[in-house]
Amino acid sequence: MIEYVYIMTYRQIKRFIRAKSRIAGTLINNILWLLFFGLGWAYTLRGQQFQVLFKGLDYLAFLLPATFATSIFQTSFMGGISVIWDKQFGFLKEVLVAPAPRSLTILGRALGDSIVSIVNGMIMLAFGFGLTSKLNPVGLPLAIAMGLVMALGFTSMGIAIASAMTSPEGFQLIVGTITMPMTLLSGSMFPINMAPQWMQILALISPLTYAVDLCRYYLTGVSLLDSMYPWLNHGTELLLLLITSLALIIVAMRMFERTTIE
Amino acid sequence: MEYDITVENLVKRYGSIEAVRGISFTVSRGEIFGFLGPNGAGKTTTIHILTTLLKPTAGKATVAGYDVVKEPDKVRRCIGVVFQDPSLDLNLTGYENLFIHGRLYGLNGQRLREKIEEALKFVELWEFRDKEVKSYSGGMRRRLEIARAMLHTPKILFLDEPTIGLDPQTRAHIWDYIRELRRSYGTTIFLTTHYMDEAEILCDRIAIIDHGKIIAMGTAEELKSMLSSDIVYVKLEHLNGEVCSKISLEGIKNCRVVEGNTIALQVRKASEAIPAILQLLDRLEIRVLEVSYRRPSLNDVFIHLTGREIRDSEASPAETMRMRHRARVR
Repeated sequence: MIEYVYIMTYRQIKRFIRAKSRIAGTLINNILWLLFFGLGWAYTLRGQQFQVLFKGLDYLAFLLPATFATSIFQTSFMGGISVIWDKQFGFLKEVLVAPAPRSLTILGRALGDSIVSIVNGMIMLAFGFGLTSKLNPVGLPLAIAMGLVMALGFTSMGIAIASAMTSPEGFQLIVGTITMPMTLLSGSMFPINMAPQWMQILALISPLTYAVDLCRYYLTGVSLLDSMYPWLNHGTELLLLLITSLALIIVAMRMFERTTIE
Repeated sequence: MEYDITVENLVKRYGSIEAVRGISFTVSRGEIFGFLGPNGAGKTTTIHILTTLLKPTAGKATVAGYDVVKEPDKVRRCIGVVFQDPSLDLNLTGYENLFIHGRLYGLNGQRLREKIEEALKFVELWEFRDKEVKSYSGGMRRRLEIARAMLHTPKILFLDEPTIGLDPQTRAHIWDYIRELRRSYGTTIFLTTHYMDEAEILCDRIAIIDHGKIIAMGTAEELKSMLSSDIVYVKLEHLNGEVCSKISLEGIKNCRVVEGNTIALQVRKASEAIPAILQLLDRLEIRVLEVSYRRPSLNDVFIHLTGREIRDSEASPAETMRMRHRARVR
């Protein structure tokens, strides 16, 4: 059983390590974003009066833990595109005709892509620890564990969508359309509890919002969602995230089982 | 007689198009069985159904004794497949491709390592095992796919156009591997091809398929004896378009213009027909440059059955796309 999961994880990670230019591209992108966006706003909002907005945090300490979650989200979700490449280059047929259960090979695939996106997020976070001293390293193991849960959910979401599609362009279009609003609404860049009510409701539909808030909670001890609804503490958030991820994994398995080569 | 593949009235419909229109055949254990036909005849569709990737619209098929619709998992365990289009992971090495394949088929450890070495040596790719498949030539990739398909020593091997787009030497090479596979492991082999020579050289039995139907089946000799005739080639000084209509001799079944100024005539017995043909052409004042004859080929059989040549049959748009895709990938 587990060997079928393992072998596809192995393949996804091997492929990632081979794609050196892609790794470099993602890294450079992330660093530039942190520097220009992060530092830019951090300097703009450096006065004491602004820290009230972030429940006592400065902007960098507010932003950096959230970037860990959003970068995992983006790479995980985009990871589904490899299913489409495999359709185009034929490798998918090799997997579909093998006796290994499809639900397990797809789980291995999701796990492989999740590990890749967590590594990516951790590189991002390493820069974060370099930029500010206000992050608490004790929360790191919890943040990473939570990262794995969300990564599995979002890679599954990508895989489920990719299973039903044939062109990488179409997939990119969908991913682009979903990624942007989810990232903005997640409260990663501004405190979502200050936003209009209707935006807050939209934000609470998206599981990324919980992931961002949890990550911030683990690394700084500050949660913004519980100031919107007191019952929305970190325990509830984690539970909601777990349920969503599990549901997405099951959907991905179902979708992939039904994939044909037509 | 034990059958490794049985197919009964198999039908596959895509919307209103019938790709496979009720075919039936059986393949015995250890046999090399070939589907010969033009592009778009339904060969690949049949392979996809037999390898459990497509569900048939109607009919029944068993592979290794298991129903392809009801027991796909059991079928998958018994078969190896080389698809017409490449299905390798180009970013991984040859060794890694085989390693992943082996694990997906439940092999591991020392046994898997030995199998990989054996398979890679069999197709003479052992020294390239640590190179990424991206850098392999078209022929090397095909060989790697064959090595991969035989890695788990399947009972039945499916080969969809195994030598399409390859140069003559590589093709001959791959034919050797296929024959060797049957000799060493007793593998039952089902292959599709649109090359007459390939079908004739490799297959114990051939089914000629056209427009989703099997129109003839038997050994190459049996198929050719359907015509019970020879083909006479006459090269003329000038080719007059209507020359065929003027040649009306008893015993000439078919006349067609082939390349250059040559016409091909299907006759019962060449040695008797040639003098008569020459006399007739002389009377018509048509100058003859060369005359030759040969036994009919499978192509002649195909023409006899369908009225056109295999290579004349136009590629469908999907086929053209695939060829272009292949050109880009390789």
